[in-house]
Order: sequence, then structure tokens, then C-alpha cells
Amino acid sequence: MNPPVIDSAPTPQLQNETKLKHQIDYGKAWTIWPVFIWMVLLFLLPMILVFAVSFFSRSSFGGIGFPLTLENYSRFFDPLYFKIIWISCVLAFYTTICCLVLGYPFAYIIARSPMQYRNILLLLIIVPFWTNSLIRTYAWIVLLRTEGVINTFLLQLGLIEQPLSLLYNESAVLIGLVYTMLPFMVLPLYASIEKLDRSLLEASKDLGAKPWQTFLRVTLPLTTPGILAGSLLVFIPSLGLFFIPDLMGGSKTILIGNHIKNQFLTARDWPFGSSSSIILMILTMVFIAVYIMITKDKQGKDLV
Amino acid sequence: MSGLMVKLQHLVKQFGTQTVVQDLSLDIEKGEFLTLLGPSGCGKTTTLRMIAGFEQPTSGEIMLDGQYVHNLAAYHRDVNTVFQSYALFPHLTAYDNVAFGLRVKKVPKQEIEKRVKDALRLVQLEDYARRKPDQLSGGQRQRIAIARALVNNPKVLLLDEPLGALDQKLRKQMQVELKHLQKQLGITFVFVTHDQEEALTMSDRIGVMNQGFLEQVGTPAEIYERPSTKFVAGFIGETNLLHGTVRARDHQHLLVECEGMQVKAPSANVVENESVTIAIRPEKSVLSLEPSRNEQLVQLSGRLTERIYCGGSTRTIVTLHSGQTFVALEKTDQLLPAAVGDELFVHWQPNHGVVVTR
Repeated sequence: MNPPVIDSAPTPQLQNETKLKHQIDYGKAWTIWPVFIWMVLLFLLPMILVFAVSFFSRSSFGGIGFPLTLENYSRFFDPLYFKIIWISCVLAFYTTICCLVLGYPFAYIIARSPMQYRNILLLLIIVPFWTNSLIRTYAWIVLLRTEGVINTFLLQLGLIEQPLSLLYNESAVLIGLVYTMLPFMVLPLYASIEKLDRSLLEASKDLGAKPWQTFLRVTLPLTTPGILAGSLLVFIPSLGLFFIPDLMGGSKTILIGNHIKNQFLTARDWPFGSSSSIILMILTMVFIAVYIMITKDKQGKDLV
Repeated sequence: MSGLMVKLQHLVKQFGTQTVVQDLSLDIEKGEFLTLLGPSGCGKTTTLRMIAGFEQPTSGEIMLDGQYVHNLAAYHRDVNTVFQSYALFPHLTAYDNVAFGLRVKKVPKQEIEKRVKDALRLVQLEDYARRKPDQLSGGQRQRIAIARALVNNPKVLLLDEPLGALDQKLRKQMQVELKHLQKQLGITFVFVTHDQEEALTMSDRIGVMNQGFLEQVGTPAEIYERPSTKFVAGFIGETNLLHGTVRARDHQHLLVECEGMQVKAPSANVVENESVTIAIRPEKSVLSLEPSRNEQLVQLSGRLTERIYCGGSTRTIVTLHSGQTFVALEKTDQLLPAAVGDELFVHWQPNHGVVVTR
């Protein structure tokens, strides 16, 4: 809300007040400075660097050199890279769907459990985050590999005769991604389910809606903000996560994240890696723009 | 119009170790406007929620139009609720809110349209069909909530303090409208409120609840003029309660000794030396400066301690010689010429006192 405009000459008291306002503004500025410096040093400068590098050429020893060129971008418009983007999007999409299907009941149960258990359950979701995600991915490898825990267990039970190949395929990557991204789905979902007024569910029941009708007609539409926010939080990082496909996909599945990583570390083609990063970023921004449009469209700005 | 619609038999509801509703039995006639009245926490809303099916009774039975329903889920019961907070679906328009119940029951489209329009017309909100709840005023939301419930043609409409959130003027208006609606449609209403005035003006019968017990059921006049318990006498309207012991009785009157005062009261089913309470409404008592010569009247003396102006009437508070305060009602334009501290007399006809033993 804007402060009311005063056109009359300021009285002494008002002058004092405006002075005070200036002081507060300085205070605000001082608290914003550290954040500003942080953002410039760690986000803006690297982004500018990446953006700049994307117009240089790769020098013969893997460095960056002249001439300036657009070739790094035109190279990307190749069916090979389109396929990489496509697979990345499909996998990120599946990850989002799996997280949603797994996360919704999870979030629902937490939001509907008695108050004293809620924080414990939420903590249980967050605790794994205190370990490095790389280590957690290795833990999955221990579980899934040919001589891993699951195969050994099933073999000993006699349920299977040959070890199942659980690792180094797309489903392994999917498992890894879903496992890593699940909390990002559960937390926004929890927030929106918890906000849901219980009397609305009773009203629905009262009007003759069976539980599934109540879910489809009341619960689901009213928790859409949580679903959209969670989906965005899962989908976008899934596009760029490279170590999970690397470790669990056995570098068979090349995703956009791996591609960028390879350009920087293996192929040592920084300009091409940079242009790919910029393209991924643009793609991400498109998705975010779509998200904002959907949420604005639905119920106004209070959703975001 | 005749016959039973709702029969509650020995209903008990416990939450943990706390008993919220205690052995409640009540019959509600078809087409009746019954109000459950009581202070907050008396179990009236829980009773309503058990009829609606949101709460399972710990024990006891609920019969709706001749069928036991206490084991039926809420969505299988032919009753609808108007919630205290309205509970309108915020993502749906007024029209869609009203259509909700018909849609989930798979009523044909054309019929839905007709019935929803009729319901909206009934509450005079046809022009607001396309609005979302947050674009409606409190009173409009209230009416949409009523339309949403009534459109399903419920056997019983349950109303949980539906007027609580409205301002005084709108509230009075909605009371009248609701009453008209109920008369017009002939639907059984079970109305929950803590507002005794609301209960008195709207109901065919009132059930007064206190601490989980149904204290008394009766018409507004019965409840007001013949309260059967101390609680009912004190909760409905303003009452002076005189506690005492029965000293003598004949077939017409009791003589009760209240802290040194002799009070005549109408005969009741009590024995000598039993403790009783006599309730006298402020408007039934008369004040005078001189003692009355009429031997038939009950007469107590005291001192005027305060006068409270209430528009057309004035509440005059008298401190009796026993130390108890007594409230009398005077017409503001016919006030007794007395000032605070003056000695005066309170009297009333013995038959205007009500003897309660519980």
C-alpha cells in the first residue's frame, strides 16, 4: 500500500517524521548490502562469466580464446542435443509425477496427523538432507547393484535365481532422482494441505460426496498451489542434476546436466558447456514463466 | 406435518475421558423448528454433529424418519448442514457451490440447473450466481450456504450457529427470513445457538443443554415461564433466584424461608424442609415506596443500589436486607421517585414465582 500523499507544506513535526524515514531507509540499505554483495559475487558475476564464455572459442589446449562466435549456440541445434533435452525433460517429468504420486499421500498423512507428531514426521523428511546427497546416492548403489543388498536378499530367499539388473539403467536414474527430489514435493504439498479448512471437507461429505468425490472436487483443486509449487521445485532441479545419472545410470543415459558437466570436465570445451548452460537456463525460465501464468490465471497472486 | 422425524435415544459422546453429551434423548417432529440452546461447551454442537454424521456417538441411537442412521456415513444421510463458518468452497462460484450436492449425486444436468436457480431465487441471490465466495458479503455467503443445503431437499436441515458471524441488524433480519423459509418449506430445522433471544423468537420448541445434559425441552413460553431447573431459569432471560427451605405447604401455596425472609410461592411437588429455589422474572415484580397492604403479595424490603437505563425500560437493582441483589424492571417514563440509597419494597404475586428443585 502506498503512503498517503501530502501536498501541503510539511509542518515541523512532519519534517521530523520524514527525517526519521530517511534514517530507516539507511538502516534498510545496510541490512540489504551483505545480501546484495553475496548475490553479486556468487550469482551475478559467475552468470556473466558463463554468458561471456559462451561466445568465445575453445583454444587448442582446452582453454578459451578468440574469435568471438555464435557457433556454440548453433552447434546446439543438432538432433543429438535435442534428443538430450527431450530425454532430460521426459525423465524430469516422470520424476515429478512419481514424486507427486508418492508425496501426496505422504504430505496428506503428515498434515492430518495429530499436532505433536507432525513436527517429528516433517523432521524425518528433512533429516536425510543433513547427509551429503552424493553419499546417499552411493547408498542406493549399495542397495541396487548386482551383488547389492536387495539382490543378495532375494537370492537367499530363493525368489530369484539370477541377480536382477537394478542399476545402470533409466529406472535406476529415476529411483535416484525421485528419492533425492521427494522432500521438495512433500514440503509445499504439506503446507497447502495443512492450510485446507477441514470444515470444507465436512461440507462436501454433508452434501453427499463420497470420499473420492471429496478428494477430486475439493481437496485436489484447493491444494493445486502446493502441487504446482512442488512440481516446479522437483522438475527444474531434475533437469540439471548430473551426478545421479552419472552414478546410477552408468553414463548410458546422457542428460542435459551430464552433457554440461562433460563439456566442462571431460571434453574441456568451456564455451560449448557455457552455451548449453545458458540454453538450460532459458528453458528453466520458460517453465517458471508458465508456472507463474498458470497460478496467476487460477486464483490471482496469492498463490505464488 | 405430524410424525417423528428425528429420534435421539440415550446418546452419549465421549472425547477421551471427557463426556460431552450425556444420555440425551429427544424426539423431533416433522416440520418442527427445534433449537438446541446452551452456553459454549454444553454439547449442543456435538449433538448436531452426531445427527449430521461427523461424529460417531459413543453409545445410543439416532433414528431419522424411521430409520436408524447412527452407523451411516454422513454422505449417506438425508440431512444437510449450514455451518457456522459457512464452509463455502472458495474455488467455486455461488452457483457451483449450490450445485455441488446435486452434481455429486449425479442428478441430470437440466434438473440441476432448475433446482439451483430455484434455490438461489429462494435466498434472493439469483444475480450473484457467478460470484466467488470472497466476492460476497457475510450475509450473502450465509444465504448461499443455506441455498446449498436446501437445494438437496434434506429431511432435516441442521444449522450450527449460522448467524453468529453477522452483525446485530443483519442477524435480526436473517432470523425472520430463516423462520419464514422454514414455514414455507415445511422442512424440519435443528438449530444450534447460544443466544437465548434468538432461540425464543425462532423456535417451535427449545432444548436447553448444560454440561452435556438436556435440561428441559419445551415451547419458548414453557421454557421462559416454567423453567424446570435452576440452570434453565438463570440462562433464559434475566431471573432473580431466591434459595430457601420449604417451611409449610397447603394445597395452593408453599411457604419458603429464604435467609430470614418468608416467601410465598405456588405449590409444587416438594416436601417440608426440602431446599428449593424460587425464580422471579424482573418484569413480574413491582416496586413501591410504601409497603403494600395486600396480604396476598410477596413483599420484601431493600435499598435501591443502582439504576441502569435500557431505553424504554430501566433495570433497577435493589439490595435486599438479606444482602442479596434483586433486579426489577421499571418503565423508564414511570420511574418510582426514589434515589440510590432509598428504602423501598419489592412485591409480586406468589403465582408469578417458579419453584425449582434442581
